[in-house]
Amino acid sequence: MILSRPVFYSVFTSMCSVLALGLTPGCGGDDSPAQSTSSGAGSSSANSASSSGGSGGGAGGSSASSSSSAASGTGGGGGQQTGFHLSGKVSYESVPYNNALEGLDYAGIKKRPIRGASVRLLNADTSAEIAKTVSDDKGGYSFNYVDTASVKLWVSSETKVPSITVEDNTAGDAIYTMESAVVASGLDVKLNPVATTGWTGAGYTKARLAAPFAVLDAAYTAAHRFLTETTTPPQMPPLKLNWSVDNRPEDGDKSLGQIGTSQWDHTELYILGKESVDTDEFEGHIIVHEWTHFFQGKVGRSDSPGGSHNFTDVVDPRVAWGEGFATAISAIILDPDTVYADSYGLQQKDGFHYDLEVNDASAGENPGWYSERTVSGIVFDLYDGANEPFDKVNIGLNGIYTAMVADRTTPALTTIFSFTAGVKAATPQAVANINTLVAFYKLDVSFGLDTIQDAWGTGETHTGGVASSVPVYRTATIGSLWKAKFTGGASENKLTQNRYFRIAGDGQPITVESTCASDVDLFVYKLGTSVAEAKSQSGDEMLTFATTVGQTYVLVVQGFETKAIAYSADITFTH
Amino acid sequence: MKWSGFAGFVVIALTASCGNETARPAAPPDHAAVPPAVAPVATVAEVEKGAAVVAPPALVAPTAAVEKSAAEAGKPSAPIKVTAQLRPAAADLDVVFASDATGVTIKVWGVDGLRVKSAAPVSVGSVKSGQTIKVAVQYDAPATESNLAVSVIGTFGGREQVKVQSFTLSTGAAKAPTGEIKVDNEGRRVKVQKAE
Repeated sequence: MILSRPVFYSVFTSMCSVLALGLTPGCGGDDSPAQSTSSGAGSSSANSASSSGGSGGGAGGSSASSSSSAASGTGGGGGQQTGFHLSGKVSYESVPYNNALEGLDYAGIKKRPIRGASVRLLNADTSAEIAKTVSDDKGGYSFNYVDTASVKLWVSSETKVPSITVEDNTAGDAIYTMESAVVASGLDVKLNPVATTGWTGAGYTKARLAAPFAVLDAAYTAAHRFLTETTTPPQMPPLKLNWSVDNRPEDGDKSLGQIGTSQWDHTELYILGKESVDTDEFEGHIIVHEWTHFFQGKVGRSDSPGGSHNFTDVVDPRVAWGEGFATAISAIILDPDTVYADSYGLQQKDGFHYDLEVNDASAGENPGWYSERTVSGIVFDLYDGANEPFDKVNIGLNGIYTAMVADRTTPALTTIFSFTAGVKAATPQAVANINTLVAFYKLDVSFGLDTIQDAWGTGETHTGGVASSVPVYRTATIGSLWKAKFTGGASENKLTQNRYFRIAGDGQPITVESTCASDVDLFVYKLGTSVAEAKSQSGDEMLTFATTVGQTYVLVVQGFETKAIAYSADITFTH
Repeated sequence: MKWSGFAGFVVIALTASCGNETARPAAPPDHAAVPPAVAPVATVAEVEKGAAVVAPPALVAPTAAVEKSAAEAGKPSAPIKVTAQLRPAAADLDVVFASDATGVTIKVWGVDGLRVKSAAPVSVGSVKSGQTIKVAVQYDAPATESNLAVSVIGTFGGREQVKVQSFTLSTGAAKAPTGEIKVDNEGRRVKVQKAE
């Protein structure tokens, strides 16, 4: 995929933005504690309202043109012109994962603020919008208005800064909106709507209002941390997330909920929501993991070809990097909650979890530069404090972000090599400790990592049990012939099916040709962007690409043999 | 959404068909001979080492920038593919393993009113990469749309991993959607659901 550049937005400077002229939405410091109660067992008082200072409801308050009258009504005299005030907090219910029970724990439901979200004040009689604002970091909001007898709120699953929306992909991409109870206007009315889970003890028998706000909050948390904790904050492009009660692990029509799994499809995020099959809305690590794919692809650079993967797979190092980095970021964003958990099954009572902070370089983990588990462990330990014998480095979120952005310009593919080399270059004082951290993942002669010297994996000796996987990159010259060796029987994103070459541009077109009895494809990249590819159904491929003097290109030879056999492709490089 | 809790974990028949249980062949020798087709070649003396190619292929025009293939990458799951042949009252599942695994358990259950008729998970001590486990399932499907769900859990490479897959049985109308679709002040579709 050719990475699109971000749409630029002004840096967010305030959690509260006034979006309606003549009105005064509350800003931070909301003095109205949310008193609505929420039952851990499902029932809840989600929409509590109270009033003090007398009701101003009544005369003149039912006009459909209340927006204009409100806008002009501040400080006006007479009747309702003294103004009404509505304030409160908006929140949603969150269901934790229980590590002991291995599943969602509805007895532990907690209420969390809906932050940075769109809150609209509507005339209850006409549904005309009077004003809108954005909830603060505690979910607080307030409105001053006039001339409306009774009002209600719409709280939408969207944030403005950064632009994030959670939509129902099975309902024409409608934005989820919680409608509050109707309250009579008054001098100081409180309204604290809560988006509830809809769980009533044995199933979701009521509207699952909390889910889209939980998804929004995870994405917002991730974005907000990068916006507020980096020295040069990212310019976040808009993001759409799709969640639906029908989103299920079945491939097909996404508008029907057949999304395959929770994923970033290089355009939008899709999150599972099918009750008693697989739901992910309350599993923040999964949402942040997928969000990171968006973030890395749009703000940093992702060269991963994607495809199925798991923690212990020996995969293409681009896949290991993309997936491991995303898992690490989920733990970084949600730190101190470093436990990745995933529930599924009837009543969400099955699941698994693991703590990212528990480092493991044992044989079953297949540690190395091709392992997403190794990647996530290294990245997280680069971020966190010096809290283990092998972890004496701490570059923080800003250091991680800086290296991710710097990785955009690596001529190599983005892998643990390019990232770590970038971190070492940026923090020369930490090089020894980084080397110690990397060395933790050295298991034996086949599995592990050598000291990372550069973005190209120079000097790497660990094969991951895959013959001919090192050197990581072969240096191809014009007029040379190479034999790229593979083992089939694995999916095309595994290390056994990929070989990498670096080619120095000389200003002339270069032709690459493959000859192979099995199907192989050729891909040439310049700074991570595809410049040529040849991907017929055969092993005989040819491509030619223009080159620039001084520019290094990368050729990926990818095999597709489905039989578990050893095979090879002859690769030539010519002018 | 109305949930019908049918915890039917069942399997009528289980057949382990080992499509390819043999270990992968060893990699070819590093000093592989160069196929005659690419001759004339000077030498290929080293491990895959490049050698001079005397006769270059004809040049073609440089290709324009093309979009890199980008498969979707979802959350981690066990290296398993589950397919099904669905019939009105039964399904044949093929559970294909892409890696060796131990302690495998396959569960099948129904949601949205689909009732699986028996209730015993399938357990298999170990499977090989490439192996297929066949599972036959019988169920009563409602008149409305329902789903058959499958989970496969096992230990892969020393770590417990799971794959969840569902299949839609479209024997009737989908259930009624929740919420009301309206248009907001900005002309956007919004799905309005009332807080309780």
